[in-house]
Amino acid sequence: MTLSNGVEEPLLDEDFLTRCGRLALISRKIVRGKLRGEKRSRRRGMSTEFADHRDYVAGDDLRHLDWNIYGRLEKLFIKLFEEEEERSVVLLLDASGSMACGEPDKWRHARQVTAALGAIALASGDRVHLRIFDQELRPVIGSLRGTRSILRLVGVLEDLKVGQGTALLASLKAHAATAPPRAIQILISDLMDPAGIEAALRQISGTRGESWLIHLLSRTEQNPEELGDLRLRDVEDGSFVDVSFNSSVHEAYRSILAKYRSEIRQLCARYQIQPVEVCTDVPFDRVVLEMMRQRGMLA
Amino acid sequence: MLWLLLLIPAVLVLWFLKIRRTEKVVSSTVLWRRALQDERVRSPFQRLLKNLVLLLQLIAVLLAVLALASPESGSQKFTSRLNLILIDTSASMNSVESDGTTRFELARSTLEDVIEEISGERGMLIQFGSRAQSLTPVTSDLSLLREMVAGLSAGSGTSNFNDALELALSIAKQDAVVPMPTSDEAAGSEDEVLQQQIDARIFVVTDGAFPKWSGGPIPVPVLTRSVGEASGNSGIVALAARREFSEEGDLRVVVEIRNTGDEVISGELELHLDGEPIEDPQPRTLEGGERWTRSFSLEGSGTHRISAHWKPDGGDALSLDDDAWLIASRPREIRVARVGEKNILLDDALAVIPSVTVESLKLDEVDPETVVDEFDVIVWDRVVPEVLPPGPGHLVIGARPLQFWPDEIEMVEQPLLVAWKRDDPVLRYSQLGAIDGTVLESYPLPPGPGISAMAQCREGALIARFSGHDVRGIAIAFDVLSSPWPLTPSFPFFIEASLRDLARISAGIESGIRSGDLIEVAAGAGARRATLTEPGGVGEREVSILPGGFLRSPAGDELGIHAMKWQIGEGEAERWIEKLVPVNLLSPAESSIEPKPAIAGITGGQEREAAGIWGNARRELWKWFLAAAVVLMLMEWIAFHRR
Repeated sequence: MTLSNGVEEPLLDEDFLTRCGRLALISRKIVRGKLRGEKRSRRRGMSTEFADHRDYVAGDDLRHLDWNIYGRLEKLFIKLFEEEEERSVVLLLDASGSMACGEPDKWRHARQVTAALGAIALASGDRVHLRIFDQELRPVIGSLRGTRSILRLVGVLEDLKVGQGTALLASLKAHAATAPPRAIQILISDLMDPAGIEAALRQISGTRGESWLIHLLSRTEQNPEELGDLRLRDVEDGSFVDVSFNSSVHEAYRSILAKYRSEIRQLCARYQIQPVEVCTDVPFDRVVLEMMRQRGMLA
Repeated sequence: MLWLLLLIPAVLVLWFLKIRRTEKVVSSTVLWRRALQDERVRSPFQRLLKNLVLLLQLIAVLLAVLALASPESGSQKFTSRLNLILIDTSASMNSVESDGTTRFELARSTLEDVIEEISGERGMLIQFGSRAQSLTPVTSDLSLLREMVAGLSAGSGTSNFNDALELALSIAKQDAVVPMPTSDEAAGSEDEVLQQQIDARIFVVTDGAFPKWSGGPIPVPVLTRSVGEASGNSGIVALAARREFSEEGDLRVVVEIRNTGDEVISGELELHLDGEPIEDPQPRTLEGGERWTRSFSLEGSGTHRISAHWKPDGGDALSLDDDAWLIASRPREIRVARVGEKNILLDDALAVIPSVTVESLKLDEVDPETVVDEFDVIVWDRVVPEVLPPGPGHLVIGARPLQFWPDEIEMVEQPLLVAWKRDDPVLRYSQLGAIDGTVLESYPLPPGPGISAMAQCREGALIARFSGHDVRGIAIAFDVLSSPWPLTPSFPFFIEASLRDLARISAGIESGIRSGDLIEVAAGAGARRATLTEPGGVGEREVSILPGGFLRSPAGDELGIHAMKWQIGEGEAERWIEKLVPVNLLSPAESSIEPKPAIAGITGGQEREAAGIWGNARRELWKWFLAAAVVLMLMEWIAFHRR
């Protein structure tokens, strides 16, 4: 979106950034970071919040003996506390040519959602990895941590341009090889890859962490309103298809799109990925603050 | 008309050319491809239906083509009677009546009355002059008949009434209907119900100047509307010539004039040679029905235009038969090689034929290489080579060309003649009675490819034509010296006719054809361009050259001398060759203009009341098809602009 003075409007406004500070990404599973962080972990460790007891064994730190139990039962128990660990959030943003098509602007919408999720993660102390891909995984920026990195993240996203084709499988395979363990992986994409998506989604399977999919389509992709005889040209590979639009063709397209989405949902269920179907008609803040909160992804 | 269905592919091509697709960039065509594939699978007709405009265009073209094909339908309805109107357009219809109007003008007025009389019924107009042809389809639209009558005129040919009546009867039979039983008739037998009925009438508007009907009984009523009253006429009914047997080739010309009326007619006969009077006009008074034959001789060679003009005192009703034309040309000499032993009788026959030069050769003196250029015909007398040289014609007497009859043939003694082709030009003047059972022995020629028997005995052909591989000729299957034939006059006639036929050189007399007949000329392979000019040098038209260099074109309505010209050679060698063909009336039937109240030989069926019958009537549907096509085009226009 461009302002009247020719300067592009920032992806996130200050009001939204303020509201980000009160939110955090909710992981339904326990994730483990490398450093002690702010996130609660089921890994019992050294923090202030009691979690459980276990029998004392020689060598345990006597400071953690529960003297109250010893007083009542004359048995030695060690108090266990939930260890607060750092969590990784990987934002996988599709920057292929197809993301620049459609009305309202799909590419800006995708960057806004990415920026919002990144800002929330950074504000809540997570380590954020931004990974951009089109025909391959593009090196853009290293991992970010702390609220001070929010502006840097937004700046990077604002300067980002779309590429050419899509190679979803190759890109996500490259990501999987270097993905931080037990991280929250969030894929923001329109999933328009002629090579198919199943093998690609398998790469971000949520079996060892948490995986979300923001499936983004523009209004014109969801509900085309074209009429007459058109030649539709693929923005990525240049191929075309001649279509004479009428109600029958529209109906057939909507039917195929519904099947496609249903297929995506089934694949997400198979690979333990939480899908969120987003239309660019819905403002990004509603996507984040309403749709994702309603799904229990944010709190 | 159904060939117009080819317009449908043309519409499809135009349709696909017409589609100009706007290009639009999309994120991916994957889903669109799947959607289109899915749509095709779901309904094969959807593609056509979605292109509603194309569908409407195709149906509209189909309907328009069907409309042009004049469709008819058989439906159970009350059909109207069919009236077949035959109008005489022959030469006699040009006769002028006492009030100055022509007989055809009277006929036109009568036709209008007939059309008025058949109002509410169906009609069809057929003309018969030099040829019979339908002028309109069967139609209820009688204005079409009126329009056609207004533009019609009489010609200068003879009447082909029989052809016209056969055409009318054929159409009437096609129009026969199978009547449906009414409630009263339901009790009748099935055979009665299914019997076809022809509900038609034939009107003949004519002066009756044509030969009588020679066909079978006519199942429909024939109503003759005779026109004209004048009967006094005289005219030339024959003009012929024959070249006399003399060195100079003098011509004997015969003219016959007939008074076809009852009154006495006086007049003068004028004869012209190349436009110059031959002699003073010959006055003559002819009684009613009298014929006058005048013959005269003309000297000299070359091409001459002979014309005869009969000038009745005070004129007569029909002027077309007062003139006649004839073309006499000196034929080129026929170069004949006679091969064989001395044969006095054959040599005598060859000697009396005018315009023939004969050279006697022995068999070993014939050079196949040069014979083509030196001779028009080779007469093989009891000898024949194994292979006949191509080029000249061959008259083979008493020998068997092995090219056509390679097998041995059993000899037959005194064969009896069972048939001969009297209409063959070679046998036209030859009486073959002299060889009927009088030939001592013969080897009858069996039939085969390229062989046509001219005279036959029970065992085969005694005289036969043969042709093939650039060789053609006539074979006589016996030694003429073993028969009395050479002693009869028919032998030299046969030899002369054979030589002219094989040399393709006519006797040089063109006594003329009639209006509408075909003018045919063998111009040869070198002809490049040809034209036909009508009498008086008017109406020149191009004539297409047929394979083999033949020129064919029908003679026009104008009587007189037509000139067929063709161009040969190129550059400085270019020249035009002209063949003159006289077109005459020369018809006693047409000259006899006395109107006949009924047509001789016709016993038409009983006329019924014009009540019509129930049956499989045929209705013209072209209007409905056309209207539907127009409506569809309108819908197409709306659909196109609403898309």
